[in-house]
Amino acid sequence: MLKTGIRGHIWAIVAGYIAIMLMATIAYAANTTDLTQTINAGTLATDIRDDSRVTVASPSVAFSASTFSFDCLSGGSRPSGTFGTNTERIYVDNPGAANDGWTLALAATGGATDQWENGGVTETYDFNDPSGAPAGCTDGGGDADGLAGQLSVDPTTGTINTDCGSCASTNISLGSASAFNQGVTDSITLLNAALASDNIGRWYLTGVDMDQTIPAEQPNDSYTINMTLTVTAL
Amino acid sequence: MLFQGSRLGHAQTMRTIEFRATINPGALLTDIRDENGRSILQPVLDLGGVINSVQCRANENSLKGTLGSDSQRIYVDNPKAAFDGWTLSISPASGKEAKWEGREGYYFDYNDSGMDGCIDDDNDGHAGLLRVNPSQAEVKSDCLECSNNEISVGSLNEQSFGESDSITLLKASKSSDELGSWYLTGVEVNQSVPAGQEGDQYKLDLVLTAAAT
Repeated sequence: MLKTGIRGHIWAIVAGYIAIMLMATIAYAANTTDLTQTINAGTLATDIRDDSRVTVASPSVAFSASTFSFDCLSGGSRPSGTFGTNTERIYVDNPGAANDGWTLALAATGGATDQWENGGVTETYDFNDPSGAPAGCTDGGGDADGLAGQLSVDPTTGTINTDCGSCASTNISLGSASAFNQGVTDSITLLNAALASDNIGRWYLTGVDMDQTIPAEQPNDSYTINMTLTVTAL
Repeated sequence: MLFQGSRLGHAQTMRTIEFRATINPGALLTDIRDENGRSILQPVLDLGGVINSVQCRANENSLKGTLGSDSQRIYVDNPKAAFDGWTLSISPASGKEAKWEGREGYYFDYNDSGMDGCIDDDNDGHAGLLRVNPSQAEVKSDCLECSNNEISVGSLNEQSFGESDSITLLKASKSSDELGSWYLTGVEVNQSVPAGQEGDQYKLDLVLTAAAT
């Protein structure tokens, strides 16, 4: 009876372990996890990035320095700059967001009445006045704001580069040389992507020449004007 | 900054870039420019010609010319670089030892004062005297707002290189405009030619100097 009792206990303990083992096995089977991942659609975008594709926080274009002059600085005498360099590339990303083409254009952030300003906004000159001969040397035309000066942009000097797995720059063309003219040319197109251009692609533009006519006797100082790039789906 | 928005129902994104330009201060300077304001690379003043003579040619018989003409204007620019006035003067490029030079060995002087330049009183072996008379010249402003007030032509009494190594053409007082551009025309120039001077074409380089006072 004693042996029978001990054997019964042993069997009870073994049965208990088996039960625990079975329960543990069942518990592990219930912990399976489903991994899910979503890639959202991108948007048509423009940006200024460096040669490592890092967004440039405060992009700028420095025009060549000029010296105070009693004469209007025009033609080869006017300050010039290059928009789009290897370290400040003008990017357009189209991740299938604009399937009918797009345009990239440049305009003054402050609109057609914007102007070049010194730090204290005590001295200014214009960016969109074609008046005078040479153009930009006198105030007048459609913006009698008392300021002369005109900014010319020549995208034809630029270079379009692709930066993607398989896209091409086919059917993407450079804009025409132009100058800002208030009420007439308030925005200058830098790039045109036709309907037949790649719907998925990433491109960057460099080497856009720019020149700014400086009015006679413009006081010496440092001047700035903010310009905005806009990429628009067609 | 990456902005997103829409216009006319089309997807659109934007990025802002700062354009920067610097206009540096100008310097007080002088230049010879034409009537269109273009610098003349090699300005020349031709004093005409005389036939060589056994007599000294002085005064009304001297070589004559006019420094500063409509097509060769003598400019001074002051872009707020000289606040206390300035002077414009003329002197030989190579200093007191300069001479009119013709062919090898042919010279005459520009700064002998004796007998109107007819004798070699500085003992350099050459006679001759150059006079520059700005007293009848005309000053004009060429700027948006400046005037030629307080800018005067040089004195008739200080016109001979026999008496001075440098002749003042213009004087701007402290009260003159600090921002301005002016040009001078009609400065009378005459050069006496010593007796027996060999026939040739002679030249003498002179330098204009604008200096803040």
